[in-house]
Parts: sequence; structure tokens; C-alpha cells
Amino acid sequence: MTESFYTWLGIVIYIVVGITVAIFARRKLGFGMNEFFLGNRQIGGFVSALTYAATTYSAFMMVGLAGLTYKLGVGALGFELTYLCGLVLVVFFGPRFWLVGRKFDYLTHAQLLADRYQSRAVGIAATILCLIFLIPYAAIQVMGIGYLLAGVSKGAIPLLVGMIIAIVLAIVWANIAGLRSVAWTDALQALIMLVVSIAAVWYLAYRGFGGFGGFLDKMNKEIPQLLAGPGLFKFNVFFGLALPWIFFSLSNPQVTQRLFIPKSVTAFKQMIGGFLIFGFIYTVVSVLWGFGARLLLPGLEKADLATPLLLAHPTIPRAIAIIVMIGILAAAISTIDSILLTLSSMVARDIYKTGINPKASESLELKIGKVVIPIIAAIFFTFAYWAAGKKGLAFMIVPLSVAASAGLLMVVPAIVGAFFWKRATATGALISMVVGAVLVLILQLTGIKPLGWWPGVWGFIVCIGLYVIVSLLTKAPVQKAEEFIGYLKEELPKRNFI
Amino acid sequence: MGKAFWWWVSWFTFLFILDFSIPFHTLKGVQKVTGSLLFWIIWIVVAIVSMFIIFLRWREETH
Repeated sequence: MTESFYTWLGIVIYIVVGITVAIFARRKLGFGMNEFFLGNRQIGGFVSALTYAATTYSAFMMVGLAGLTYKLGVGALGFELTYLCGLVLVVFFGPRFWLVGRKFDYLTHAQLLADRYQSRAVGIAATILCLIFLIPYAAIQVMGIGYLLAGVSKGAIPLLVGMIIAIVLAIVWANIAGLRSVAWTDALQALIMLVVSIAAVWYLAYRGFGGFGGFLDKMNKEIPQLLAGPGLFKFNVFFGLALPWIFFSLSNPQVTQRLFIPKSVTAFKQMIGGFLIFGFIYTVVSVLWGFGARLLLPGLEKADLATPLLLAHPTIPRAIAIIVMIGILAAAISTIDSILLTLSSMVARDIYKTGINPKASESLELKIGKVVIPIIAAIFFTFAYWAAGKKGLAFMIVPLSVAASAGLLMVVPAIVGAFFWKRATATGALISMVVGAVLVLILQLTGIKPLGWWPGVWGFIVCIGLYVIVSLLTKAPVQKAEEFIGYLKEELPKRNFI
Repeated sequence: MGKAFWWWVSWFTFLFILDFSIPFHTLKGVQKVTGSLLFWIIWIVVAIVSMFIIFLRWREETH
């Protein structure tokens, strides 16, 4: 049997098991937008935790973060753990999202903003922001899968075929039962991601260095420069990467949508706790993997190739390499289908229903949402195909992912203000989002970094300033603000939420 | 927002200050895994435990 046969066999098993799980999830599918896009807000804690993890952690971890560790050292761990600590925002804001989501029947954070600020334009702007910035982010995942499969199979699976597999699976899993099939397949995939990554690092440590003690000793001896302080990170780079990531849990709609789905307070607690434990383990494992690559494969020109090349290294048994590849494939696809589903719900609810046809029936709205899924997927694919053909550009996985998060960061002041500031206005929210996003795009595309600071930092400063100043100069939707914030003030203590 | 809210906001602000300052200053010269790598692992464990302390107090609605 050839190596490509086993690679294909692994992929086929993964697809069959995934589709079986998705079909199983369909048994509970009811009717309506809430049902299709939120699982009727009745998802249990275990599945909520794993879908949150699988949605958040993508191919970025074992490929991009490992590459970043390879290149710049221990600061990569700090950067990713800074993100994990940012989950405290879910501890503060999650219960608020959850409560108002049930009370006012919100499907997306754009709908929440539109209603809270009493402005359709705010909801539409928030949706467009998500569309613009999540397309490159999702496309990177598609591209990453293509490169990974081509690398591990040593060309037996061409780049284009890998990308097609990713897109088709994402469409299928999003369509079978909406959030239910996505969440259940996410849960399966999260378990695969975690188990195989731990197994991979275990093999790496024992076969490559004689155990974890030997692994750490070798790090001390051979790459001390990557362990000192933040490694080779400069402060502005670290801060520029970390800032958007700290707010990831509030800025990314595929993540905020998951704050609406737990069926109870207990399920919500399990979601956060489960995710924190998952995130801690997966981050440490991914960083160790990157250090292992640096020790076994020093001198690579492209750090993003560290993982594919390490999987081809004799230290890693071929069977483990194929399983790890499946784990990374799972990480990427679980992120893509979640983004796909969320963006589809935003187009249906926040652009079509809110902006174009407020009288649309729920069945029409749902139909629009389902039709949009393959269209958005086609856009992801087109972008990925285009990006994969470029050479010499800054198409490294990390900067592009961070650029996406930097753009999405511009919605954060409006979200925070919605929950805490009665004086906040629609004009303030709208102008801060639009101007902030345009600034980030300009800085990102031109490569300009004033005073050495990254686009997200400048965009965020301008965005906060505009939000406050414009809000103070314009008229707030007082009645809605009272209703919204007043409701939370009344409900939060009943469940001991802070 | 009560006292607990602001106490926890202050605590996490302090943790983020440590996150950005200790590795870039105090541990700059420590070229070992017992430097920043160990710091960040202990730091996140403290942060995670803090989050657990907050949300483990949550309960289903009381009437």
C-alpha cells in the first residue's frame, strides 16, 4: 500500500464519521431561524465547550502558532495565552449576551447592536465589517488545508484538491442541520484536535529527545535566544498581535453567537470552564510542537512550513503524521463551517430581514440564509485560490489572521457601550466602526505602521475616541437604553452574575 | 455593577500588566525554560483559576 493511499484512507474515514455525526444531529432539528442558527438555544455544556473551542482554534494553532514559535520563540506562547486570558471578557459579557439574547430574541451580535442603538445602519455596518474581515481569515484556513495536505501527502493530494475538500465539507456540515450539525461535528473535531496534538508532542518528545526532560534541556542548550524574555518579539509586535486577540471573544461573530446557545447557566459554566482547560492544553502543546520543529529542523526559510516538514520528519511515525494532519484538517474545517454559518445568519437577519425586507417571513429568511451558505463558501474559496497563487507577499498565516481580528476589533467599543453606557448613540457606534475599519484597512494594505505600532492599535484608539466624542454630541436612544440595561440590572443578580 | 465587578476588573488589569511587563523586563536575561515560558504558564493558571472562582458562583435563576 502506498503512503498516499493511507492519507486518503484517513481523510475518507474522517469525512464518513463527520457526516454520520452531522446526520445524527439532524434528528433533533426543528424549524426556524433560532433552530437552524442557534440550535434553539438548547445546546448542552459539553458540546457548547467543544464547539467554542473548535470554532476558536483553527489551523492557526498547529501551523501558524507553531511557525511563530519556530521563528520568534516563547513570546508566541505569551501572545496566545494573552488571548486565553481575554476570555475573562466572556466571564463579564457572556451572561449579558445570553440574557438579552433570550429576552429580545437576538440571533447575531449585529442584531443586538441594531436593536440596542435603534439603528438598522449600525447592524448592517457591523455585518459588512464581519464579511470584509472574516473572508481573508476563513480563506487562510482553506489555503492552509491545501498546503498541509499537499505537504504531508508529498504532493499526492494537490493544493487545489485539498482546498476543495475543505470547502465542500464546510458547506455540507453547515447545511445538514445548521448549528446542530456544526456544533456536533465541532465537538468531534475538537476531541480529535486535542488528542492527536498531545500524541504528536508525546512522540516528538520521546522519539526526538528521549523524553520531556531531554526536550527541555535541548531547548535550554540550543535555542536560549528564543527563551529569553519574550524571545525575539519586539514589544510593539507583541502588543500589536495580542491586542486584537484579547478582544477576540467579543469581536468575532462566530464566537459571540456561541454565547447565545447554552441551554442553562450550568451549561454556560461548563462551556467556559471546558474551553479554558482545552485552550490551555492546546496552546502549550502547539508551542512545544513549534519548539520541537526548531530543534529538529533548524534553518527553515519559511516558518509556516515547520509543521508540514516536521510531519514528514523520521521522528514522527507516518501513521501519527497522518492522524495529526487529520487533526489540523479538523481544526481548520471546524472554524470554516462556523464562520460560514454565522455569516449566513448575519446576511439573512441583519442585511436581508433588517435592511431590505423587514416583512420577510421566517421561512423566507431561513431560505435566504441557506442559499447564502454556498455563495459565501465560494467567496472563501476564490480568495484562498487567489492568495495561494501569490508569491513573496506577506501571506503568512499569523499577520493575515491578526489583520482580520484588528478589523473586527472596531466593533468592540460599540458592544461594550451597548451594555454599560446609556449615553452611547447610534451615530457614535456607526462612525467609530466605519472610520476605525477603514483606517485599519488603509494601514494594513499600505503597510504603514506609525511610530511602529500595528494597524489594530491605531484603529482601536481612533475608534474609541470617535465612539465617545460622537456619542456625547448626538442623541442617545434613551428608552431602549433604559429597557436594555435596566433588564440586565434586574436579571444579573438573580443568577449571581457579576 | 457592584464592588465585586470592579474588584475583578482591577485584578485582571493587574494580570495583564504583569503579562506585558515581566517577560519584557524582569525575565529579559533569563535564557531558560524556567524564565518566560514558566512565567506565562503560571500566569495563565492564576488567570484561569480566577475565572473559575467567578463563574463557579453562578447559579440557575432564583425566584
